[in-house]
Amino acid sequence: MEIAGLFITFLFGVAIVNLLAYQLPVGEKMGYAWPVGLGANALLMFVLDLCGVSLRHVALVLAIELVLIMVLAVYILRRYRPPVQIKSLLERLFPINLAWIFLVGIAVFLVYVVTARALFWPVYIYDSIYGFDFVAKAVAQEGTLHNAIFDPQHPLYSLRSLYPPLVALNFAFVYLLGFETSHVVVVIFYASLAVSLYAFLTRVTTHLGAAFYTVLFLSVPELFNFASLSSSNPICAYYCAVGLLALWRAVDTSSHADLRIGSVLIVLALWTRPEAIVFSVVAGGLVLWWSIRQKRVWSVLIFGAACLVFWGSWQAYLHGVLQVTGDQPMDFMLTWDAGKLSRMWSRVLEVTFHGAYYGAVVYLFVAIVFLNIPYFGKQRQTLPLLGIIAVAWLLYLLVFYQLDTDFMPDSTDWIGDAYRRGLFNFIPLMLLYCAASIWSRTVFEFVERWLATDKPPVVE
Amino acid sequence: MKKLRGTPSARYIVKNLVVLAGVFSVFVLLVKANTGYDLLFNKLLQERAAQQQYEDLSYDDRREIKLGYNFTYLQLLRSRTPETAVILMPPDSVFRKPDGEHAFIDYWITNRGWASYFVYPRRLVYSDDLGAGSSHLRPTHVAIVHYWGYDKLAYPVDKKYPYDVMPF
Repeated sequence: MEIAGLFITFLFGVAIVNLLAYQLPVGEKMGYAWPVGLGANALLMFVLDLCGVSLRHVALVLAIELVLIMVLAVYILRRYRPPVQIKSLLERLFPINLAWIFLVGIAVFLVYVVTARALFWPVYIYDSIYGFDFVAKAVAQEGTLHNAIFDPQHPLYSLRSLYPPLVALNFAFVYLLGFETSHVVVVIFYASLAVSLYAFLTRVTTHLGAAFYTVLFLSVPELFNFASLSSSNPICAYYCAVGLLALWRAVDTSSHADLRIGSVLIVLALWTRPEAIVFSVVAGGLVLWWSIRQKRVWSVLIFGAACLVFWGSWQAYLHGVLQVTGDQPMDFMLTWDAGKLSRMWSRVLEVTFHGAYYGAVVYLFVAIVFLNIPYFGKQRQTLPLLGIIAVAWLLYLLVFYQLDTDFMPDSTDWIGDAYRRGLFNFIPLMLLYCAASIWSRTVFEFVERWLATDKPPVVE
Repeated sequence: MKKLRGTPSARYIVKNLVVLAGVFSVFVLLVKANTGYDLLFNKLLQERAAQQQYEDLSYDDRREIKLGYNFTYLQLLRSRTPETAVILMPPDSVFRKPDGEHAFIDYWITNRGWASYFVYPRRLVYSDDLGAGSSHLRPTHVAIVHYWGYDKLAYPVDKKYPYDVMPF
């Protein structure tokens, strides 16, 4: 039941991704499938809960998904009539050389270690126990989000329990399937991040380069740690980072498929963690840019409406059904405090460049940015990506600056805690920027050409 | 006609080995030069050892390793009460005494939301909250912590344990 249930969400994702973006390469669609499937799964559970159906009937959720998969499959097969090209697919997916095999081997090993660790240990981190995992347990026990945790006479919720419900509902889903730990959901997103990033990287560099940067990503120490914990940060990082990458490419290539899938991922991000608002603003800018260039105003209007509906639905549920307020510890009036900014900034630099958190990634990114400065004028593809990273980061810092704290040493360490994990959202973007740079491309293309000169020829 | 790739030349194999050695060297350098990768590498080894050491333990036992006696005590409350139980907990001061006898469980257990997770769907009612009148729940059991709680019972108890849970 456990494996079958998760596999159905994967197929559900495959069907939705094919509906939205059939034209994309198979590797990319595989990366998108599970996160989109689990996102849609949470949406379905939320709707069933609103309709008064107990979520304890997990078989009903799976049955609805199976029916939707079949309907979508028939529609996609009738519309596209896809030819079966498994052989050419395998040839494209596996461009064998020893270094590539070694790197992919490391990537698979890292995902395996995270999976083994995640399934071995029960949930024990505070944020999850007094947050989304507790909500998930209560949903699995009582069959509804409107459960004992939100009893106004005896409330047991924290700020994290009031986060949008995608994480809590999926955690509840895996508990209902029979898993003993919700860690499995986070592992799925970690592995999907690797697959999606690899697929994106192969569009800007060689397969060897893509494997190299994917291993750099999987071995980011802080992410590696959190991928096997019951944390919502890797999940949010998937939706925000991959959503922005898809939208960046949509603008770059005028692709409708990328626009649709990127928009869906950002909308799902809004149902994951509040910080996704920052990334949805940047995403909104990209969709607006796409709409202006394509002269299609509807795209940006639909995206904006979808964001409002998704974010608003949860806020309305909190206020209308649960009757709780998710007040953020923030001051929404912009104020100037040089001392506060200075203290925050020094802590930001300390955390951002801490090698034990992000390994070599931030250093590599900064080095590539400096090396790229003389070529800024010629970088039609990578300059917008750098702009996305910079604007998103500045907006993200602004959110922390507006927090109701003075950043003194004895106050809550927002930067060492929330910001530290929030940087996961930026790492795939940084690595793609590095891989797409002229320096990286030159190195990896040289290696591939050098190998190709002695490659055995194909004979009939 | 079937397409076949020819046998790789020695030169091609050597080139492959050179690139492999280059990539391998980069990663060795990163692990040596960066504290993060070094920690990650050591963590991989520790994790393997921990999983071998604790593989026969149940999930609850593994949780006890991570969370200590707080979890052991909450697990006791969970195992000895029905799902509908409302358990009266001692005042926070009982958990915060700094002497050695109280070091068994610590003040983390006074975090209402955190502690409730481990006994859910049972409910915990803290004496301090009852005093403040902020809870409407009527306790069905009392948590015994270092002999605190026996005085709440309306019946005599022959054998008293320092840590226990008793019905009202």
